[in-house]
Amino acid sequence: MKLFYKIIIPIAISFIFFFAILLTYIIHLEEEVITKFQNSVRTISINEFENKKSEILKMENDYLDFISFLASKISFKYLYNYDDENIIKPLSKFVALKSIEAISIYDSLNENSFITLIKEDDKAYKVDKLPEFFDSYAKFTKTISELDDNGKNEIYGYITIYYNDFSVEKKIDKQHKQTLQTLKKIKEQTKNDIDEVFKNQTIFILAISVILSFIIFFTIQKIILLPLNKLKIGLDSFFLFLQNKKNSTQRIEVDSKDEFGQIANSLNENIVVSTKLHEEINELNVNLEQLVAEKTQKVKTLLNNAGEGFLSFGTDFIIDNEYSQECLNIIGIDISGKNISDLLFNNEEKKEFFKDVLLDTLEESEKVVLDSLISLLPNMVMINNKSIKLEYKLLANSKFMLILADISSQKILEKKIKEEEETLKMIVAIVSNKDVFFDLKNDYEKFCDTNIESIDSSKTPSYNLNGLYRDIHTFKGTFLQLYMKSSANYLHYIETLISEFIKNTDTTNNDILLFLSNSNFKSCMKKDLQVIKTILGEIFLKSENFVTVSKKSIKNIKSKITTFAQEEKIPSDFSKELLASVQQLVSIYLINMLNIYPKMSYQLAHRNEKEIYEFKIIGDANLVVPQAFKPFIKSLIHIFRNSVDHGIESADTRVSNNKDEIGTLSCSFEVKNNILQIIITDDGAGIDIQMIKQKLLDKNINTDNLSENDYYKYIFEDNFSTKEEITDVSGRGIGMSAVKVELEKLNGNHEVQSGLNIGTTFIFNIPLNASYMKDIFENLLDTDIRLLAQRVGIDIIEKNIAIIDFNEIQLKKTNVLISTSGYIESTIVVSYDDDILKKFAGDFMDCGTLNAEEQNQINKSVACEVANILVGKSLVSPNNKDIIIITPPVLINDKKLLTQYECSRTQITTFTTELGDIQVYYNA
Amino acid sequence: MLNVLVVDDSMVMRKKIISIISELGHQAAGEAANGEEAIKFCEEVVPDFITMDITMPIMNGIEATKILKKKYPTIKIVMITSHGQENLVRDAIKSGAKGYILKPVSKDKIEDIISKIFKIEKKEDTNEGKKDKEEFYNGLI
Repeated sequence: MKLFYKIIIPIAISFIFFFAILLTYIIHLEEEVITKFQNSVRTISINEFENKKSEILKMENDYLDFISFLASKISFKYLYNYDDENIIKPLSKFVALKSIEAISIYDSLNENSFITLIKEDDKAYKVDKLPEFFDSYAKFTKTISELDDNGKNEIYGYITIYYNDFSVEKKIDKQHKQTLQTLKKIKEQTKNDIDEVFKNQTIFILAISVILSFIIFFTIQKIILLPLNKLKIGLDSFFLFLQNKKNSTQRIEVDSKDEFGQIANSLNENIVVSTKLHEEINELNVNLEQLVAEKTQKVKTLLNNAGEGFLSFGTDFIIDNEYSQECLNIIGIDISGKNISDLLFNNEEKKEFFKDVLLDTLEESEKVVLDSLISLLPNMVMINNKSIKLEYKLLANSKFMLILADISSQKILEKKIKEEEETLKMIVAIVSNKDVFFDLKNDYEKFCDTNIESIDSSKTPSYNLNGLYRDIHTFKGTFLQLYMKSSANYLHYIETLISEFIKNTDTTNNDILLFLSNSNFKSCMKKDLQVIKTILGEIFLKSENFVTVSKKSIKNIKSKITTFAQEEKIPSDFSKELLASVQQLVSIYLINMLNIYPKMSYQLAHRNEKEIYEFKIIGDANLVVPQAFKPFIKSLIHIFRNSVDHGIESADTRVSNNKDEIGTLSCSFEVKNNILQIIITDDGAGIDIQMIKQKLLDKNINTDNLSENDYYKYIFEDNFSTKEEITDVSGRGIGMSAVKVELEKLNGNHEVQSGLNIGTTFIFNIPLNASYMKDIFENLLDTDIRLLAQRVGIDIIEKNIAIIDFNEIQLKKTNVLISTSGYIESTIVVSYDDDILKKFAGDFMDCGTLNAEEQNQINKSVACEVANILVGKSLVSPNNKDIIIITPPVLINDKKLLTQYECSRTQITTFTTELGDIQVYYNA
Repeated sequence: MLNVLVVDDSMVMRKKIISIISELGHQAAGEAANGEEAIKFCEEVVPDFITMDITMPIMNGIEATKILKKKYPTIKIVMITSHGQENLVRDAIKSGAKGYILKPVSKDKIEDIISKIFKIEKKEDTNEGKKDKEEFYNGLI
């Protein structure tokens, strides 16, 4: 209620009361006045009336007194005379008077009535006796007397006048009536007058009241309400300002010096101060708001651009309406109101688990338990082929928050990085094993070209397939060794296809040929080669020749050093040292080649959740082996793999067999009597002969009379594996046979020692000489012959190496035999076609035309010389030149002379030129 | 120092965990090969902490956890699990386990869960870090 009404209404009510009381009082007063006035008027009137009445009565008395006096006087004479006749007349006159009704005269002397006259119809009649009803009439009696001589009054009689007082009463009544009338008139007049006065007074009072009210109202208005209103407006504007609905405050304009003025002043002061403060706060607020707004925007932007989607849901798993933009990007649809578990999973079991675990969290309070529960939930899901990382947050009020992050690109990146890593590994492996790589590349390319030809239709399809399988398996292993994943994968696929063929007994050789001609083996290395090309440049792939050149130049350097040393007579120690260091550039250290295996085995074990101790290759770090050892050493990968895969047991099995839970693998080598012995041992489960036996029985092989060693031999056979499942590592039964094949190429042999639960030891013995020669042959073939041929202008079209039996040897017309002894014991036969010799001779002995005999002689000499040069140049190295004896070349025509060739296989290298072949037989 | 009972059917695993426990400065109170053995053990000595394999013969880890938790509510139990046992872990936690360690177990994993459960500061380096920070701030002031 407004203050105005609060003031006006009580005032109005008090006024009304006041007026009511005043009016009541006035009315009361008026009535009193009227009553008093009436009373006084009545009193006055009655008094007057009484006075008049007494006046009238007195007047009547006087009148009657007078009349009776007169009558007495008149009557005296008649009485005195007793003349009752004559008296009648005068007395009648008296009776005739108004209001006198009768007159009687009593004769006191006679004591009787003298005369009585009554009035009837205004005439006097004499009666004897006065009627009785006259007793009620008023009577006035007077004595009739006469003064005697003594002066004494002598009474003669009494005269009584009876009069009717009606007339007096009438008079008085009339007077009374008049008085009453006057009184009434006065009363009315007075009332009217008073009413008039009252009316006037009321109007006057009302007018005064109204005026007073107005005055009070205006006063209140001016003194209280206006300042109050101003205060209100001022305060309102101030508060609006405080509420930031107005930009400025205004002074409260109350100039009066009363309390309101003081209030206004103090308020004004406060407003000024508060305004300032508020403005400061506002400024801060604005800054803060700006900050908050910025922050909010930032947070929002962050949330929307964080690459993370934020959403929340309750125990019903229905997603709340508020979720960040990224959720849309990730899921692709409006997700509000959808069930989160349906969005994340399509497997009912997973959905249930997701819900159950989240609901479980509501019952837990311990952080560690909550963390454990939350960590049970999947932290990654696939949505729309995107990898989405999930993060869970528990909110208050039984709500959950889920943070989604699209990590597909991260995953792709990781994959890329991994690929990069693999690529790098491959590059490093290739660069640091350049020879291995080029050998592999050349070998593989050759394999691609020749695999169709290698199918011997005279042999069984199984034989051909196994050979093929073995080759591919070894290639695969070598590719893996060089981290050429793509190539290895391709071969793995081919391997699987071939194993299908092997299983299928209906396969014919033609099927194999068809398969081979339809298979694009060459494309195998394509991808890896492309990568190599991109990274190392095309030149690298062509750098194989540079390596050759560099080897050649090393040899040149060596020969120059030798020549220089001989000519300048430099101490042989110095030249030896120099030559040795140069030789190291092209030599292969056995330990380096073997060193890849410990690490590989360790990783392999780790991958199979087995544990082995780290181990090192034990052996002479300076032992150099020929290039020809490479394939064999590479094939040893299968031994190590088998040891880890089949040999070493799981930790639990080992402990239950009372063995060290960590397995031991070892590899050592040493040279004894020119025989290199490589020993690879594991302390694993050993070879289970019973299993081999079962396997052999499955294959319908008679196992009677088989010794332990015979059983072990089988593990080196084609297509033999005791492991049922095929892993990418081993289990195809092909690895061991690859080892055997390579070993045989080096004329080596192997031993196997195995004990159930004790372990297995593989011992490989390789004669060093033989292998050395093979290395020398490499040199011969690749460098010296080419050099010689180049010098005499012969193009070597093709080179072919084969290992043949003695009966396969077919000597040509000119053959030169050179034997070596000492460090290397070997026999070498160089066999020439005539035209080549002629060409050589033309270069060596240019002496014009010769006859046939002479020509023949010269050819023979040239043949010997060339063989001598080749063998001498190649076999003698700084390492062995002091301990090698080379016999002079001898011409032979009959292979019967080659008795030492009979007992073993011989390596034959054929160089085909346009002028015929040069064949080199080697036998150690 | 906590008294730890190691429950696992694999002896290797037990050995491994015990060696880690001692490395962390706790006492390996004993070992048990299955739930039943674990309960028998607790009848004599109540350990502070149990590492419990889930799958074990005779009595599995969840069963044992249920019984042990009922008898000795103060024992903190964590499960040793492998991938794909999330459902079992959930059951174990509902039965009273405080958490779990995913195989292969490592020193870090065990130290981590112990520090979380017993709120033991992980080594001194965190304290030193705090000190460093304090000093840094003091320097700023």
